[in-house]
Amino acid sequence: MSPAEIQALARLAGSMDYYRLLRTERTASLKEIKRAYYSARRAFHPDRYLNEGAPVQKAVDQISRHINEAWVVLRDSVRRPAYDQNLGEGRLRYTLEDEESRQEQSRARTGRTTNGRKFFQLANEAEARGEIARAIAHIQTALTFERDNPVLLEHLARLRASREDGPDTGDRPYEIR
Amino acid sequence: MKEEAAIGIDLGTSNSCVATVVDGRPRVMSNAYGERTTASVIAFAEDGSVSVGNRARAQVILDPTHTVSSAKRLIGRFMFSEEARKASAIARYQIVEGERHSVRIQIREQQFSVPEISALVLKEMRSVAEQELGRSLEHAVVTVPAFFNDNQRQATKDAGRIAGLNVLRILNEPTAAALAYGYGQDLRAKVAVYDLGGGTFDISILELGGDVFEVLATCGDTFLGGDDFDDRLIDMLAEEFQALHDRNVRPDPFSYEKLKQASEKAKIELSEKESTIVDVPALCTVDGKALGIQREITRGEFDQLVQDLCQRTFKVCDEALQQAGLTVQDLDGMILVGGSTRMPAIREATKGYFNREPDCSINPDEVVALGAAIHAASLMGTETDTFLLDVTPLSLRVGITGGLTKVLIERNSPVPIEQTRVFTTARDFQESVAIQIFQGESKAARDNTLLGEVEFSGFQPGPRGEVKIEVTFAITTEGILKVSAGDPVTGAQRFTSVTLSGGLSETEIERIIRDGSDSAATDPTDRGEPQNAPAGSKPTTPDDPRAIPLEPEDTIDAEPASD
Repeated sequence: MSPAEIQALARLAGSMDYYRLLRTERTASLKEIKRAYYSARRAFHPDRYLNEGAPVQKAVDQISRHINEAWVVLRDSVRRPAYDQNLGEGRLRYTLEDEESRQEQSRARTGRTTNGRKFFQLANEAEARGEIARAIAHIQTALTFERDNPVLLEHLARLRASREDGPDTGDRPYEIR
Repeated sequence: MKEEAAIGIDLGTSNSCVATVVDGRPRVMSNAYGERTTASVIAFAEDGSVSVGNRARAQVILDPTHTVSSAKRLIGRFMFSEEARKASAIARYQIVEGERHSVRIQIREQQFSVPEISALVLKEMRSVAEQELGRSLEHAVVTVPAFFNDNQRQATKDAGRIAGLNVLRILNEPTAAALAYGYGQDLRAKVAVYDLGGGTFDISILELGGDVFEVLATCGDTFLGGDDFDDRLIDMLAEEFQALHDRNVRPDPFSYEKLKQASEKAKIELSEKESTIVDVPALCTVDGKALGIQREITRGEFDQLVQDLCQRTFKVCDEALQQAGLTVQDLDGMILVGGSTRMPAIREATKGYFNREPDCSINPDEVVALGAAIHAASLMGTETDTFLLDVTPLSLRVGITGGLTKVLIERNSPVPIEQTRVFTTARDFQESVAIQIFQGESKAARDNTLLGEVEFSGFQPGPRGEVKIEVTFAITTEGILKVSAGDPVTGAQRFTSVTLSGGLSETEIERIIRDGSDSAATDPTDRGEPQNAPAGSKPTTPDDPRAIPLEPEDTIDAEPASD
């Protein structure tokens, strides 16, 4: 690449999606992505341009930063699907905020607090046994620890709906002694 | 540039080594005494002369207060850091506080910054190479522990400049070792580099893929090294002496130094022999009578003393493997680096942990310098034939309100890398913010290392929470951090590096280079404000309430600038 092309790429790199930047496909396997990453790093490695002028050095450094940003996301089996979803919405980069909201969502999925997690787990077990009323009771307990967890609220709504329209198989009311 | 030679310098806590590539082969160069490593010790004689190396080390006993050793433990540290406090307690030379919480070393009437001290060692290594090659040398790659933080890297680079070197790159020691190990062999393998030096421990997991050397993860403990193994022996001997003669010899510099050298010697001998005799004929004088120590120590006894130190390194290894997403079974090789890995206790323990024999094809004292030389030659050539992909060992964070931090760059991210995050003000119509930069793995600010502070004031003031301040961290290929802050509305920007506090300013470095190391920074009135330093700003400690003016702005979803 000529110095002018390198500088042009440095300007464009921020507006390229990660796959395009690494010259690979959306469907590429991890192995293929790794190969693409290596060859991109080779092509723009700052060590190769030590004898070049400052503008070119700055440009390859800029490109390398973008390449690394892409690699950190695409190599990660959890971040990559989240990024693909971003791409679907026309967002080309995966930000720190994206990663934090993903982590928050995944925490919400299992419960954010120790007790929330415990009762959520019990609810899921009860549901698996078909004990819907018990599952609802456990979800309600979990919700007292984390009131606004959308995942729990959604779960509760779903359980209530299933009780109304589905047959209550094996669901026994609490026994009074 | 092509015809010029470049050297690789392993600047160690205890010993340093220099190598270069001659006719395509890396080679270690010996000093005037034929030694392949040179002690990182500097002796300042009464007549003003300075000597560096193994001769200087011999002077430690005679004149401990004017002989500086293990300066690497202090480089790039603030005076209030744990390391500086620990070193002040142990070191026999005088450590004083300089400007902006920096560490200075006082020798008679002169004060030296730590980079100036390290520069003396680098200069010595440079002249070792120059004498052997018979030509003047300027370009060098200098290695640092992978776990060195940003200030330590920057200070090491400064030391190189003060020594008159053109530092091509600061290179991580384990990466250098892997390079020496795998260079030109077209290996495809995952290897662990276990580096136990005089003062630090590092473990790096690398994947070698032909011409690409990719660091997958690196972890370390800057508080653990060969010196700690010596200390175990010193403590045992001193306690036994006290029990026998009711006299604590440790506070006396002369006795301590004798004990230290005898302990180190015993440790080294125990690597070869099953037992050795510590013999210090005149350790101290009690009631006009010279008392000494003569005691046999077996290898088993020593191994027992240091067992927990070995175990401590494996905790760090577990962490590195986990970060790399690998298990011990996934590794194809293990390289031992650093003189301390000669200890049979370490050899045996690592063999057990990694479940394989270590690769011993290259001398552990020399492997880092050889790798640095290979990299230096590769950088000087027109065709780069090896590509090193390194990582940043520690997460980089910004301090926010409540004594907390927000991550900008996660640990073990490949470098160079850049991340931006939007923050906001904590007070109404606040006109400036102090951006505190931390390095470490804890959310709580106080559990991380404070690297420095940048003041940013170019933004449009407004009600609290409504001002947007973009903070960008960029890490260079050498692992050095550049911080910039900007106002996305006014476009005001400020670039700076985090060495503002603690380290040497550009003005200071230039003056030291101009004046030569004789006139070390002694006159604070003569020192201009560092060029980039915000006027009136001083580094605050993590507990200072002024230090946490930022809050994360969670509602901002940073879209790419274009498209």
